[in-house]
Amino acid sequence: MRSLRVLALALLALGAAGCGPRGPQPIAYGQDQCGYCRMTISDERFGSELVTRRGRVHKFDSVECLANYYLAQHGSEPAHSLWVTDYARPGEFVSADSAHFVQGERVSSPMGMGLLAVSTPAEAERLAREHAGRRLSWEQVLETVARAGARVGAGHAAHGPAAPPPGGAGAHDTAH
Amino acid sequence: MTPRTERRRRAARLPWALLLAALAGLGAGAAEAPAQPRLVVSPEGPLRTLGEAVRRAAPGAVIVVRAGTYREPLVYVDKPLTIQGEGWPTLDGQGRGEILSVTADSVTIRGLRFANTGVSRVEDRAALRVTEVGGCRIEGNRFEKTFFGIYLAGARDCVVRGNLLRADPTSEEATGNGIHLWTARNVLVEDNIVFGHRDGMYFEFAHYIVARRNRSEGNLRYGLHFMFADDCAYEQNVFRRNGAGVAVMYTRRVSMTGNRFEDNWGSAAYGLLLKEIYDPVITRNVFARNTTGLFADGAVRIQAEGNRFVDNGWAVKLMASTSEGRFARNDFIGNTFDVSTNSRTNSVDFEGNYYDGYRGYDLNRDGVGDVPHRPVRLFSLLVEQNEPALILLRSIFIALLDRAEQLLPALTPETLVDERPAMRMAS
Repeated sequence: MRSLRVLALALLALGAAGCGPRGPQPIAYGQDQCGYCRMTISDERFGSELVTRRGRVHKFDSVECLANYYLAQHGSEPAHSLWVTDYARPGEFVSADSAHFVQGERVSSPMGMGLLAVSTPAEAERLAREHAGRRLSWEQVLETVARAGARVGAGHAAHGPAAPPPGGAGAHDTAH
Repeated sequence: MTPRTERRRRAARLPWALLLAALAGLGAGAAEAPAQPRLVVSPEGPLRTLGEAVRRAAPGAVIVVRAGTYREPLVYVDKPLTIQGEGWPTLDGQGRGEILSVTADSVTIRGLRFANTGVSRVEDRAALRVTEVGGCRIEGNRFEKTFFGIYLAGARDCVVRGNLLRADPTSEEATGNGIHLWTARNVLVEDNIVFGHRDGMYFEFAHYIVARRNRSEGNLRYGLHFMFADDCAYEQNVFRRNGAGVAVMYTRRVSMTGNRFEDNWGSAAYGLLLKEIYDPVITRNVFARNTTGLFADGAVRIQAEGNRFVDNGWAVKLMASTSEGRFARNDFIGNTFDVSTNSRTNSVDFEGNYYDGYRGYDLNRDGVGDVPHRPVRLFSLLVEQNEPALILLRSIFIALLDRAEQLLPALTPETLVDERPAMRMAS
C-alpha cells in the first residue's frame, strides 16, 4: 500500500517534470557551458538563462551572451522567459524584463561589455555611480548588444586601450 | 690652479672620502647606507608592520621584511619601493580581504608569502593588486588560499616571474583567477606555477603580453584564457588537467609555440579552444590525452605547423565557421578521430601531415604517400550530429562505412583532403 503511494507520488513528480519548468534552473557554476560563447560558466554574479516555450533551459555566462543568443534565435524557437542574476545577490535570478541594468567600463563582466543586472532601481543607481556607468533597460541592453555586433565586447574595446590593428581587417569586415 | 694639479688634488681626496663614508656606514649600520635607504620590518621591531615601513620610506627605498606572520589592514604602496621578503614572511589577510595594493610606478615585490584573502561573491578580491602603473616587478612570491592572486589592472611594462600560486581547489566556484591581467600592455609572465584557480592566467583587453615557461595545472576552468587580447604570444608552457587547457577568444594575432596541452578530459574539455579569432599561429605544440585536442569555432586563417596530436579523442575539431587555415607537417598519432567537422564545405588546407591511420603507399620512396588521405572519418560526422552514436565506434559496419567513404567520399567535405600525406613523423 505504502509503496503504491510512493509510486503514485513518483509518477506525479515525473509528470510535473515532463510539463517542463517555467522558471529558471540553478546553474552549476564551474560545470555548465555557456549556450552562446561556449565558456564554462563560472562567475556567480552574471549567470543568465533563457527558458523556451517548450521548457528547454539555455544557460549563459553573462547578460551579453543571453542578449546575443536571444537576438540570434528570436523567432526560430520562441522564448518563454529570460532571466538574469542579481549582481548584488549572486545566485538569485530576476526576470530580464523587470531587472535594472548598468553598463560600465569598470564592471568586469565575463564578455567584456561591462553589463550587470540588479533587481532594484536604487541598487542600479548605486552601482552606476560606483562603476562610472550608465543605467539601461532590457530593451536598451538589446539595442546596445545588437549595435556591438557579432564581436562581443566590441563596444567596450572601442573606448578601451586597444588600438585598431594597423591595416588589418576589423572583426566587422571579416565576420559573416 | 692648473687642471693637472686640480686632478691630483681630487685623486688625493678620493681615498679619504671613501674611508669617511665607510666609517659613517659602520657607525650608522649598513641599513642606512645613503645610496639605497633600507628599512627592516620584523616581528621583534622596532618596525613591526609593513604599513608603517611604507609610510616612513622615502621613494626608492628598500624595505626588508623578516620572517614572521604579519596581520594588518590593506597596505597601499604609493611610492616607488622595493619590498623584499627574507625567510618567507607571511602577509595574512585573515580571510578579510585584499592584502597589498600597488598604486605607484616602479615597485618591486619579491619573496613574500600572501595568504588567506578569504573569498568574495561580489568583488574580484586579490591578494596583490596593481592599478594603473608602469614598471612593476612581481618576482618569486607565494600565494596560498588567495581568491585572486596577482591582479594587474591598467598596468604596463611589468614583469611577473617565478611566483607560485596555489588556491584551495576543494571549494568549487569560490576561486578567482591566479594571474589576472585587465587592460594591460607589454607584460612578461614567465616561470610561474598556478594551481587550483578558476583560470590559471587570464588576459583581458591585454596587448603585447608574453607568457612563457609557466605551469598551469588543475585549474577549474582554463589554464590560460585570452579575451580581446590582440598581439600576444605564449610559448613553452605546460597546461595539465585543467577544465580546459587554453581558451583564446575574440582575439587577433596570438602566437602559440612549443606548449604542452595535456589531460583535459570531460564533455566540454579541450586542450585548446579557439573562438572568434583571427590569424592564430600554432607551432610545435604537443596535444596529448585530451577529449578534444584543438577545437576551432570561428577561427580565421589558422596556421598550424609541426604540432603533435597524440592519444586524443578528437585531435582537431573544425566548426563550420572556421575558414582559410592551413595544417602542415603535423603528426596525428593514436587519436580516435584525427579531424572532425560539422560542415560539408571546407577552406582549410591539409598538407604533408603524418597520420598513423594512413593506409596508402609510397612506391617512389620520396616520403610522400602516393594516395591522398582524407582525415575526416564519415563516422565522426555522424557522431557530430548524434553523439550517442559513439557507442558504435568499434562496430564492423562503421568500419565498412568509413572505408567506403574513404574511397568514394559522399558526405565528408570533399576538399578536406591531404594530397601529400607524410610517410614518417615530422618529430
